Amino acid sequence: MGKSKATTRLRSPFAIVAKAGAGDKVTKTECEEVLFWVRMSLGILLGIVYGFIGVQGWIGVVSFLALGAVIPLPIVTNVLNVEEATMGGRNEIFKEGLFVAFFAFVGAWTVTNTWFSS
Amino acid sequence: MLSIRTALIGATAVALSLFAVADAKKQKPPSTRMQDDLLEVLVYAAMSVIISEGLSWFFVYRTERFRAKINKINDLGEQLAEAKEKEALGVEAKKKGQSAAAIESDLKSEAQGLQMTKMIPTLLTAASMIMSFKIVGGSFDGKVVARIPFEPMLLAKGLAGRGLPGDAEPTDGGYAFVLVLVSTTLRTMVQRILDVNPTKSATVQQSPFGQLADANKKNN
Repeated sequence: MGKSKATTRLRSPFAIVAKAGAGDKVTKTECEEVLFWVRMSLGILLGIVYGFIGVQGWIGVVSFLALGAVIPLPIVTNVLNVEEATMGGRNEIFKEGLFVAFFAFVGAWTVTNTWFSS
Repeated sequence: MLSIRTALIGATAVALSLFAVADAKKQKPPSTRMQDDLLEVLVYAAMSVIISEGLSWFFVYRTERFRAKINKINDLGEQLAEAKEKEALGVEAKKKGQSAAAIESDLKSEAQGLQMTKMIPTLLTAASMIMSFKIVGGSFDGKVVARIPFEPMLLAKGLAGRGLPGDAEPTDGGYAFVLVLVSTTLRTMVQRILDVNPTKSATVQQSPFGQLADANKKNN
């Protein structure tokens, strides 16, 4: 009996990107894994940057939601070579992992803002 | 077979660890800087996640039974997605058990089994959150530990202002806000790294109305 798909799927985002670079097909689940980590990293990084440079107000929230939704799209289509239809459409790509990344963003932004406030 | 005794040992370990940290903290002189208070709350949040997820990994996540269950559910999720794709193209299933409905039924029963297996991690998570709130609340109730860079609204407003006096600024954050944000983020990341949740394609959406309709169908 061969290994199940569940045990053979890649979980490291770097390994998945390397797989796409080698020309192999990336599955929907692997693409979701990359989206999660890309959005999470983006949320934490943007939160730290915004806190450091002193961004205040809802403009920060709105700008993160816009950037967080849009930035990963070219990674899916150009780097992973996954079609939008495979992921269930562009809206699904925009939404995948955005909510949790938002929590990370607000946390990082609040902590950095507090740290650099007088 | 993991027992209630194991869950109690785990919950006690969580409580003792957090109390030990709180006791060590009492020996230091009290801090007046908001940044130091924030750092302490962050440490408590990180520790509660590490302890609860570490114990969950030790008692449940690393076991072969759990890993086999997760892999089976993920496999069924992939099979279900393929079966639905074929049915959408009008291709009929070759065998009876390969139809989307049959696979979905298997998936639902496996998912229910997984929920039972995850009862101990759920209890440990709840215990760690309760203990964190109790310990951190005891030290930081009424203190502003964070400056939120925007004015929270709706539910976030209540959470941000929890434990703060009535005259606090709208952008003042109490311990609860930081604790919930940081522990939620860290817990999600740790669980993702440990691969303890089924993939999205294997997560069967079950609405309470759907369950009620299923129950009515069985009774009629």
